[in-house]
Amino acid sequence: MAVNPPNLAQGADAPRSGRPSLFWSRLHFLIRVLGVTGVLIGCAGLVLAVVSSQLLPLNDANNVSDAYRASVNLARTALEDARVYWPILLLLGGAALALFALIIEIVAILFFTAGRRSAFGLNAILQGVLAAILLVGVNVWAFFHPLRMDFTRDQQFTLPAPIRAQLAQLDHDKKNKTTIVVYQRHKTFGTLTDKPDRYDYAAERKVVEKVKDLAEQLSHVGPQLSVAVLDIEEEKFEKQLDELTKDAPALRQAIDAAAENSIFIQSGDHVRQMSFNEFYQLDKVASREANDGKGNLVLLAQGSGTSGHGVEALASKILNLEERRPRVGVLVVHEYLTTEGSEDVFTLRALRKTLLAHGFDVRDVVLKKGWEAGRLEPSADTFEASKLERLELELEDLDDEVKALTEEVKVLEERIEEWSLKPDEKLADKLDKLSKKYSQRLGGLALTAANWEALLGFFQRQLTQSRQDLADKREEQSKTRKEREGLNVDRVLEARCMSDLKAKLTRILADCDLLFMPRLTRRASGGLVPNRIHRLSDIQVECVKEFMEAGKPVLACFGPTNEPPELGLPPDLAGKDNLEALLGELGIRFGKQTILFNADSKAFADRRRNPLRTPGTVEVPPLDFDTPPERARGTWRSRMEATPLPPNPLREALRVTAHSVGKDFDLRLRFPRPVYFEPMAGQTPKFEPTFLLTANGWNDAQPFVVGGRRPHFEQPKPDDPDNNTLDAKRRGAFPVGVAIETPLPSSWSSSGAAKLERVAVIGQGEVFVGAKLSPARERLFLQTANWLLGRDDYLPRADHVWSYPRVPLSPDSQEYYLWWWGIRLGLPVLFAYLGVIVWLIRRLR
Amino acid sequence: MFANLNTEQWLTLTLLSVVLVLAVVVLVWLAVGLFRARSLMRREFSAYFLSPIAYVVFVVFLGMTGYLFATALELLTASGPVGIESPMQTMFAHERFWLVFLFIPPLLTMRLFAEERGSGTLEMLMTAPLRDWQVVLCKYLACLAFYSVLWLPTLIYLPALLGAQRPVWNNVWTLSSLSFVIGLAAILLGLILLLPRLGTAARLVSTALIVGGGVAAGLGGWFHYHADGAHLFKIPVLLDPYPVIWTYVGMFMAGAMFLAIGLYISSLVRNQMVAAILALAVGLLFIGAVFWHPERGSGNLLFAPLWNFLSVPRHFDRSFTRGLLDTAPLILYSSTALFCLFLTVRSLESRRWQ
Repeated sequence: MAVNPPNLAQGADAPRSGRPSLFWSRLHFLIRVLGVTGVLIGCAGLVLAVVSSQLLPLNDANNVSDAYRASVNLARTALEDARVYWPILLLLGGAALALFALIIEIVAILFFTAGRRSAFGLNAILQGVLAAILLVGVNVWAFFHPLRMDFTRDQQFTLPAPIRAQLAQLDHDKKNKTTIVVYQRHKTFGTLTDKPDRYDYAAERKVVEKVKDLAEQLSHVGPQLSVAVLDIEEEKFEKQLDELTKDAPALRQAIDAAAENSIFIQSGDHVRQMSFNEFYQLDKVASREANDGKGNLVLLAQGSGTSGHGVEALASKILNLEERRPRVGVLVVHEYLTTEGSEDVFTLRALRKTLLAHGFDVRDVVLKKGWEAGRLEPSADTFEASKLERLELELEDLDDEVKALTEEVKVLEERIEEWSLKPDEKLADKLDKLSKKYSQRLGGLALTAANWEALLGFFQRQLTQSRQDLADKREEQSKTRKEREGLNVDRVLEARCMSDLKAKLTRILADCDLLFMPRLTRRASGGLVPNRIHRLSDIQVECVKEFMEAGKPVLACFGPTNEPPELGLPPDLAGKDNLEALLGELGIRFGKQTILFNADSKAFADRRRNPLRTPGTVEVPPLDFDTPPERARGTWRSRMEATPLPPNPLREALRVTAHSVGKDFDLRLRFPRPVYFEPMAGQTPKFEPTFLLTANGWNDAQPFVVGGRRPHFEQPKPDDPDNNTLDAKRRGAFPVGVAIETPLPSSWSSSGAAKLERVAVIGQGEVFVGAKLSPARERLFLQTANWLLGRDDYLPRADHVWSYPRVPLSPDSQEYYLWWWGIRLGLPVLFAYLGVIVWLIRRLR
Repeated sequence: MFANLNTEQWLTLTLLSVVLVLAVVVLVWLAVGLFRARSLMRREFSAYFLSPIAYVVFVVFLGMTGYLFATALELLTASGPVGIESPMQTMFAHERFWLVFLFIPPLLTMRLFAEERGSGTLEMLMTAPLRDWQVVLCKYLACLAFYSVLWLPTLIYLPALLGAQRPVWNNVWTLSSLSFVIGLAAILLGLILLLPRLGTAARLVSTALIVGGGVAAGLGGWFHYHADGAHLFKIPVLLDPYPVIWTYVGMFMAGAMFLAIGLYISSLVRNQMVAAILALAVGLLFIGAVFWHPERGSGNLLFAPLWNFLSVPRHFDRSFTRGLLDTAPLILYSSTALFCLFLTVRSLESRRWQ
């Protein structure tokens, strides 16, 4: 309030004399000077303390009580160590002086307001104080109880009511409270393309903004949800991360492992990760084509819902945080082909890593044993069991080798002992004795001193070598033994006791939600694995059938079965492949040939010219996600009869992903096999079955350089028996992947007949093999698995498109220039002109 | 919109409604008082247009908003993956805009009382048959009216920023559309009647026409435009118009607060320059927070929510320019403005008892 200090002083002495005494005036002046000086000293102390970083402990305070405690501790430290903390002492001293002066002023005001002549003043002060209290009170209420109303045209900052209601049901208990962490790693689309362009960067910025908006909306749901934003570029990142994950090690682990911008949802021990891509996905192709080819940023909101803001994708993850991790059963014939196999060219190790990182569990099942003995038998071993068997056989071999080497060392030691000259022995006698004993081995020649010396040296070297070999073998033996000890032998042995193959396999499969059956037959480098080794026994196929009858999905990746005649492999006498036949009952037909491309033809030509040349990487064209799959129908008749079907959901999802990355989506399959779908009689597929389509190539039953023949396309002869069949020779795009949802055949068990089965088949066995999996292949597997498991809301979708708004003004048009200059210059100049006119009028007066 | 509200939010809304009813009662009472002091308000308002400082403010303000308009227009017509979702955000959440805005309220308010005090005309004004609050409110409303006029030219930007298309007229004559049209006509007539000097009775009639027309047009327009089907008059726009509406509402409310602060400071000092500098310093408390990013530096995050609550640019960045109506800043603006007006009245009163 505007109250003049002299009046205050006057008020203090007013009852006595009406004027302040000289003593009080001077004392009051002194106190005021002290107060102002205190403020100055305090400010100086504050600046010096900040400069010398002595106030840093206050920065760690997270609440008011923390700040108070830190301040008290700081003051105590300053008093104890005045030499170092003198700026803080200055600050404290200055503050004390200022406070003292302030108290005196308040007392003076109270004296003044107590005076009769100050009744108005007291009234005014009280009113002012009450108004200030009201101001603060109202704003404190507004601060803690904000109400935000969304007036946007499509309610883009409001959670849909059903989602809000569902989220409100979440556990309020502090222990089980759900925490959402928006983790900005400044890498959004990095996992799919290592060369981000301006569209990627623009998408990242916008998606981050949208994720933050969503996080803000979620933070208003209630106390059951808390939201934190972590930005790796912020200076306080580490501190915030430590604070946030103090009691949540699983969250810390997940954040540390995240390779791109992610959202983490954590409650108790459950943590789920969601990439920003699963929230909004860039459509790079549409972005480039938008705005009449001038470009725009086109993002696709993900999640199955009506909001169109990607909210549903996140909400479903929050609400299903505790859902069971789906388990993928991997059915292979050899331990090397499992997800824990050690050989890079056969292993599915990278796939395992991908699946675990994306919320799946993996179980390997090895379906054949007896590889070492060369007598293959059907089995149903887990990776551990198969590994144990291998290790036991290895140990057996190693034991034999160690035994033999030990014996060898012993013999050599004895021989050296025998050949060595004893202290009391004469060389001539020794030579004579040895010549006699080993006359046969010496060929009847007498041993000379030089020969004796040379042979003794040879024996010694042999002993050294044998000792070294023995040591190596022992080390290997101990390593293998240790590896064996690492296995849960009891469990394996328990499983081994189960001799009934069907019961064993059924038991293992019952735990799985999805079966993945890869058949690596031909590698991209050209290497062959005969298809016959992948064949399963009838019992095993029966188990797979029962698995499917239970309504569980299957993903089969079967490579081509063609074998070159010059390898001299015995003819395949096993007859029809029973697993292919099983899938055939659902309408899936495997082509007999391998699909080749022009790049293959060129590579074969190079190879023929130079047979010693190592097979390099042949870049076949990438899979085509834009051509309508009905164009790849095998026969003329099927093309003519082709009725447009709804698009394949998996193909659509992959197309969205491919468009997100643009031309860099590197999904190429070399040596694939055509896969077709022929629905059962009287049934029409729910949607287009083909989900993977090659670029233009041709089908060849002999995809090898045989004799002088280089594989190339030849028009089929009119009497070719394959004409008018799916295997007819042709040039064009081929379906190499089908994904169907079909009822089970009526011939199967009655309980399963009514069920719909989801099956996906890819005509290539190497697609997911390797110690490293390309991001595109990772996406292919994850999206296929999610679709097969019925998690359609996990698939990328393109039904809600967002882009920057554009106004219909061309930057080159006259209209645009008129707006530009009219607003930017015209309006200010107009008002300047008016100002000048007013000035002139005023001067006229 | 209201279906998602929880108990606390309902309580806030109820409280606001009560405050609104009280405010209407008080406003009617104040309106009567202001009507009696209309000549002072007219004098204060016209004084702005005769002073060069007003034109300087216009030129600087329109220069800055024009520059930001050009930036927004560039982004709305850009090629490639750049653009803006809300042009209002590009224009009025920009730090540069607030740097200029910071100076405008002090320039408008510095002379209100300080000049009168400095030149000694305040004593004369206080002898007029007016209450202190009437003097304060007249000056304040005149200043607020000029501030509103300052924003009027920016309405020209809207067709370009919203992608407005050719207006569409439809012959839809219903009770609500008729009420809307008649209400608009009444407002127009009321404004025309205000122009000539026709005496108190005519002015009361024009006031009644404006108020009654406003109510009729408001209600009629609300019901007409919230009904399904064709509407009488429509300007199709490509962009969402709500962010524009709330930006202007927010700017009016924020301006009301800054002007009230400036008015109070002007009532405390004699020198216009001192008044302007002090108002600028206090304004910095509300605007300067936008330049402070504790998460980027070594500052403490403890008070960040408080800074965000006080930071006017941040309110525009997060709420108004995106079509959101946030009650917290609106309460801050209105309560601070009322508090400052109250203090100004008390400050004037204090001259009597000192």
